[in-house]
Amino acid sequence: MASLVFFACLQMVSAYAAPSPRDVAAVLDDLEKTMSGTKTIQTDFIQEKNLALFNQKIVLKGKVFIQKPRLLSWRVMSPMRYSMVMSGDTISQWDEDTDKVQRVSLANNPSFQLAVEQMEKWFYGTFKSMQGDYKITLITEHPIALEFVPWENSLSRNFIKRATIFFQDDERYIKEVHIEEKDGDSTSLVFVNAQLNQPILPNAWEVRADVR
Amino acid sequence: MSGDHLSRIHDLVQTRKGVVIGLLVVLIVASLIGLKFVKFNNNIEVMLPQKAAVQNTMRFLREANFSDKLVISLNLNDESRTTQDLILAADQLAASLNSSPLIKQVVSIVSTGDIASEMVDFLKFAPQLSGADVLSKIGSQITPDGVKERLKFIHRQSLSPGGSFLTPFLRADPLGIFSGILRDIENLSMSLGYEVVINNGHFISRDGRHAMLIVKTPVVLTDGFGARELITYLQGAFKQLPAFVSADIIAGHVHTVSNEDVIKKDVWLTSVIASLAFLLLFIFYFRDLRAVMIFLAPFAAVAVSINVAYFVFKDLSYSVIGMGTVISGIAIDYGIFVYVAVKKAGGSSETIKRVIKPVMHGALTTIISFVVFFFSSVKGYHQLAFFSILSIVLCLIFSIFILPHFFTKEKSPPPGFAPPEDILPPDFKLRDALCVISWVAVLALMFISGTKITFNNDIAQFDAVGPEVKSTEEEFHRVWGGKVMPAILVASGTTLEGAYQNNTDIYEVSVKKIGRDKISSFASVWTGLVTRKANLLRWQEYWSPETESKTKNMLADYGKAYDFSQEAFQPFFNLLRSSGDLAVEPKGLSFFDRLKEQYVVEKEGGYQILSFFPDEEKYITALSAVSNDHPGAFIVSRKKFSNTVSHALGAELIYLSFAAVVLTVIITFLLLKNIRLSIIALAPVVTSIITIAGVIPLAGLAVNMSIIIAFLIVLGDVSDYGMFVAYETKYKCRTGTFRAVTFAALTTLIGAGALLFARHPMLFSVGVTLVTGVLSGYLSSVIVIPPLYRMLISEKSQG
Repeated sequence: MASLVFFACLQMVSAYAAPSPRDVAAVLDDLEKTMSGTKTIQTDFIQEKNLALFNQKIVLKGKVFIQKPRLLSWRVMSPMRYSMVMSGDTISQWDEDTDKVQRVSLANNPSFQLAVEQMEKWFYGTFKSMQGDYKITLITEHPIALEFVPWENSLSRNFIKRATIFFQDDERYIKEVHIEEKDGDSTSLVFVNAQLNQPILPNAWEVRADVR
Repeated sequence: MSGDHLSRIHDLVQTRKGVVIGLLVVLIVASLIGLKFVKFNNNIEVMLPQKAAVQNTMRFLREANFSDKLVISLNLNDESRTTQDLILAADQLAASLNSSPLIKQVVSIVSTGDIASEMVDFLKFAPQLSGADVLSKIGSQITPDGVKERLKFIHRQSLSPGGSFLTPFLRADPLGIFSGILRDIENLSMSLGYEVVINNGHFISRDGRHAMLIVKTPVVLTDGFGARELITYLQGAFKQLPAFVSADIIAGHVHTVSNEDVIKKDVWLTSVIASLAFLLLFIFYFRDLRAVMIFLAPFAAVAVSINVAYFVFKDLSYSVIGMGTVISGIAIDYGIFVYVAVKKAGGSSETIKRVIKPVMHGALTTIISFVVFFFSSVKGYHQLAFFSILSIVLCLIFSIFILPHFFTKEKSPPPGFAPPEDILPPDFKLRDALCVISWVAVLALMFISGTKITFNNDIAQFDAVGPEVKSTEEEFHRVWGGKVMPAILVASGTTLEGAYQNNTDIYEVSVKKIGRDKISSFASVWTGLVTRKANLLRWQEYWSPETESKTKNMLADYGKAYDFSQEAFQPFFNLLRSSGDLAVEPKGLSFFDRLKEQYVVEKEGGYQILSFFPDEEKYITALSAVSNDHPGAFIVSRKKFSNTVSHALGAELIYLSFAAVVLTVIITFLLLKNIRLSIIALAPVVTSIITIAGVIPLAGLAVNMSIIIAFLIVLGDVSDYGMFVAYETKYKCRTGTFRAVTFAALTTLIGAGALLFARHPMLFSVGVTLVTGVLSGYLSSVIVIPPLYRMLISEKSQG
C-alpha cells in the first residue's frame, strides 16, 4: 500500500540549527492562527535548483497565486514558460515548448496531489498536520525558522534529507524554503513581493493566460 | 409389524407402566445432562455441496486465511484533535490487541523503505522482465526525433514543481522504456482499491481523520461462536480508546454475528407469538394440563437425538440441529392424533389398535421424505436426516406406547366429544361435485400463477445484517473506497518457481482475453524463470555495442541543448548490462516483499499466486476458460461462489424434493395397497405443491433453498393429514381424526404463522411456504378427501 504514493514524495522543506528553548507546538499553534487569516496570496518566486542532471545551476523565476480553498497557480516565466493550475481536484499544465494543455485528475496522480497539498500546507500554515511525516524543530524564533526532517517511516524520507522554512518577520507568510535532497541535489525557493488578501485576477486561474 | 404386535407392546407397557416411565425419565434427564457435553460447531462448510469448485474455494479461503482478516477503522470525532493524536491512539490500540490469543497479528505500521532507490534498484531486473513489446518500443524511441522529444520531456519534468524528485527515474530511464514496469508496480499496489495515505508509517485516510488497522485472526469467518467472541473482545478493547476516537469493525465476522442476532431476535419474537397462541389453544380448546406432554414430547426427543447424533457423527452442526428441531415439530401430530383418539374413544388397547396403523403409516411417509437426504452430497444433510428421523421415531414410540397410558383412566369417551355425524344430506352428490370442482378450479388458478415462478440462487439474499452494520460499511467505503471487491484467479505450483511460471502463463492468456487493465497479476512485476530467460536473451541480442553507442551519442548530442551533464543518463547505461541473477528473486526490496506477501500464498505442499480482476460475469466466464486449461488454477469469486453453491444446493434440493415426492407416493401406495385410496390420500400433497408454487410468485418471492427445505417439511406434514383422513374415511375409526388433524394443522400453522413476522428473509420465506403448504394441505384433507372418496370409491368397494 505504501507504493500507492511512492511517486508522491514531493514534500519539501528544511535546514540546520540548534533547537530553541521555545515550545515548537506553541509556535506551530501561533503560526496556524496567524496564517489562518490569509485567504489569498500572490507572490513572485526565485527557484534555484542544483541537480546532478544538469551541468549548471538552474534558476527559475515566476509567480505563485493561492486562494482558499483549493485554488493554486504556479507560473514559471523564465528561463522557459510553464504554468500549472490546480482547481479543485484537477490539475492543468501548459508549457511553451509544446504549447499544449494537459489536464490530469489529482486522484489519479498522487504525486501532484501530495505536492499541491504540501504547498497548501506551507502557505496556509497548517504545519501541525505535517507532524505525522516530519519531526519539526524550531531553529530560530525571530524570525521563525522551522526545520523539517522526515520520520523514519515517512515516504518523504525517500527523497528529502531535510527542509527548512524561513518566515517573514510578521510571520504571516513564508520568505524562503530550502530543500536538501537525499541524493545530494538541492532546491531553494525565495518568495518576494508578496501580497496577502488582495483580489487575484481571474486570468491567474487560466493555465494558458499571460499573467504578469 | 402388524397391529396385533403393536397393541401387544402397548399392553406390555401398560403392565410395566411404572418401570417404563421411570426409564423414560432417566433417559430424558441423562440426555439433558448430556447436552452440556455436546460440542456444536457453526461451520457452514458442512452444509456445502462436495462440488469441486465449491471445495476449491473453501479450501483456498481456509489455507490462505484470506477471509480471516478484519479491518478496524479509527475515526477522529473531535475537530481540535490532529492526525498525530489519532496515530497515537492507533498505536495504543494495536499494542493492546497484540496480546490476545484471538489475534494473530495487528498491522498498523508499514515500513515504506527507500522506495525511490528500491524502484531504481529493481530496474536492474528490467532486462529479464522486458518482453518483445518493450524492445519494439525501444526501436521507435531511438531515432533523432524520438530522443529529442524525450529530452525535452525530461527537461520540462525536472523543472516542474517537485519534478526534481523524479530525477532518479528520469536518469535511469531517459527513453521511458521501463515506465511500464514502474506503472505495473504501482497498479499492483493499488489493486485492492483502498485510498490510503502513509503518514508516519500508518494507514491514514486522505482527510487525515481516519486510521486503518488490519487485524489477522485465527478465528475463521464461518465460526459463529468464535466470531462473536472476537467481536466482543474487540469492542471491549475499543472502550480503552480516548473519547475523541471511535472505532468501526469491517469484517465478514460482523455479518456472521449480525445474522445470528437477527435470527435470534426473530426466533424470540416468533416463539412469543407461538407460545401465546398455544396458550390460548390450551385454555380454550384442550382444557387439559396433561396435553402439555404432547408438546413436550418433541423437545424430549430432540434432547435424546442430539446425544445419539453426536455419538454417531462426533461433530454436530449448529444449523443442522436448528433445522432438525423444526422438522421434529412435525412429530407433534402423532401425539395429537393419539391424544384426541384416547380422549374420544377411551384409552383401551382397542382404541390404540385403531390409531396405530394410520399413525405408523403417516410417520413412515414423513420419514421416507427425509431418508432422501442420505443421498445428498452435503454432509450436513446426512446429519439432518439422521437427527430428524430419530426424533420422529422417538416421538412416534412415545405417542403410541407411552402417551395413552397417561389417559387410561378414561376408558369411555368424555362428555363434549360427540360421535361423528355419518348422515349425509340428500344432495350430497351435488355438494361433493361442487366441492371437487371448486378444488380443481383453485388448483388451476394456482397452477397458472405457478408458471410465473422464478428461482433465486443468490446466497446474499440471506444476509440480513442490521442497518447499523450497513451504515458502518457505507461510511467505511466513503472514507477508504474499496467498495467493489475483486474476484481472484489462483495459479498453483508445488514449487515457488513452478507457481511463478504457471502464473505467468495464465497471465499472458488472461491479458489477451480481458485486457491488461482488467487484471492485476504478480506476473506483471515478476514472471516465471522460463519467460525471464527468454526475455534476457532477447534483450542481450538487441542491445549490441553498436546500438548502445548510438543511443549514448544521441542522448549526449541532443542533450547539449538543455545543458544535461555528461553523467546525466549513466544510470540507464549501467542498467543495460545488468542482467540480475536469473535464479534469485529480488531481495531486500521492501515493496517487492510486500507485494509478494499480498499476492503469493504459501500453503502445505506448494504455493498459490493470486491475480485480481473485476468480479463480473463476463470476466469470470472468460477467465474460467483460462483456469480450466491450466491444472491447479481456479477462480475465487464472491458472485461465482454464491452462484456455484446456490446452483449446486438448489439442483440437489430440487432433486431431493422430487425424490421425496416420488417416495412418498410409492410408500403411500405400498401401505394403503389401494390405488384409488392412495390417490385420494395424496390429494393434500398435490394441493400443497401446486398452492405453494402459486403463492410464491404472488407473495413476491422466488424459490430458494430455504423454501425447498420448508417444502419438504410441508410434504411430511400434509402426507400425514392425507393418510389420517383417508383411513378415517375408509375405516370409520371414530377416533376424532378430523379434530386431530385440525389440532395438528393448527399447531403447525401457529408456529409457521409466527415466522411471517420474522425480519430475516430466510425465516420469512420459510413461514410463507409452511403456512401456504400446511393450510392448503389441511383444507384439502378435511374438505376434499371425503367427497373425493365418495366419488371415486363406491359403497361396495368400501365394504
